[in-house]
Amino acid sequence: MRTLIAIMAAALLVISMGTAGAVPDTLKLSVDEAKSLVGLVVSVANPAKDIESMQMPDDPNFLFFSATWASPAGEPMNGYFGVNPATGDVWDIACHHESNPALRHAQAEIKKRFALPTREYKRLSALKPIC
Amino acid sequence: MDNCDRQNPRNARYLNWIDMYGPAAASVAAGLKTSEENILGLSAIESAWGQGPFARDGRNNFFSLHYPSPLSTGFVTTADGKVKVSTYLNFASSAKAFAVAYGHLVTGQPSAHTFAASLQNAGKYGINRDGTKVPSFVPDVMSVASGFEERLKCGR
Repeated sequence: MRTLIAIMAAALLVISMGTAGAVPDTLKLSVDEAKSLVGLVVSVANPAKDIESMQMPDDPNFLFFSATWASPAGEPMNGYFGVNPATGDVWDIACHHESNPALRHAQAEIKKRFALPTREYKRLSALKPIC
Repeated sequence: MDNCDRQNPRNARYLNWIDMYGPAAASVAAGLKTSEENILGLSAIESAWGQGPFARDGRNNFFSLHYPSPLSTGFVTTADGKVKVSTYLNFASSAKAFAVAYGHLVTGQPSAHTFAASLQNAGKYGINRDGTKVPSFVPDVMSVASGFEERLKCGR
C-alpha cells in the first residue's frame, strides 16, 4: 500500500509538471536565488553590476531580471535574463543560453537539491523563455 | 509553423510590437536607409519588449539613450544613481532620438549584422563594464531582427 501511494504521488508530481510554472513552489528557486545566478553570468565582465527583478507578463514561467551598469558613454543596459526556477538555466533576451564554470557549478547544486526525476529535469531544462 | 498565428505566444509578442511601433520604426528606418526590422529588433532587445526599467511606466526609452538627448521629456537614473537616462513621450520620439544620436553609425546598413556591429564597435551598445564586448549582442540583434523580418510579411 505504501509503495502504491508513493507511485501515485510520483505520478501526480510528473503530471503536475506540464510546464515550468506548474512545478511546486518547493521545487523552485526564490527570486533572490535566481538573481544570484544572473550575477554569476554578468559579474564575469561587470564587477559592479546592478540586477533588478522585473516582470514579463506574457511569460510567467520564468523569473526575469535586468542588469544595468553606469556606462558613461554607451547604453547602460547589460542585458535581460530569464531564469528557469526549477533548473537554474539562464537565458538572455534572445534565448542565448548562458554558461560558465561558476554558473554550471551552481546549477549542479540546484539539480542535486531539487532531485527531479531525470526525464523531467531534462524536459524542464530545455524550456526557453519566449524570444 | 505559421508565423502569423497570434495564438502562438512568440508570434503574438512580435506581431503586437509591429502593430504598436512598426509605423514609427519604418519612418526612422527609411530616414537612415536601414531596415525596419533592425529598428524594431534593437528596440525590443534594449527595452525587454517594453518591460525594462527605462521603457516601462511611461518612460518610453526603448533604446537606452542617455540624458540629455533630443526630444527627451526628462530622465531617470540607473539603479546606482550615477547615470541619467532619458524619458520620452512615446516610441516615436525615442526612435527619432536614437536616429539623431547614433544614426550616423548605422546609415545605409540594412543588414542586421553590420547594423549591430557598428553600434557595438563604436562602444555605444553591448559593451561590458571592463570594456570588453558582450559576445551575444550582435547575434541577439540579428536573431530578433530576423524574427521581425519573418513577421513583417504578415501584413498589418
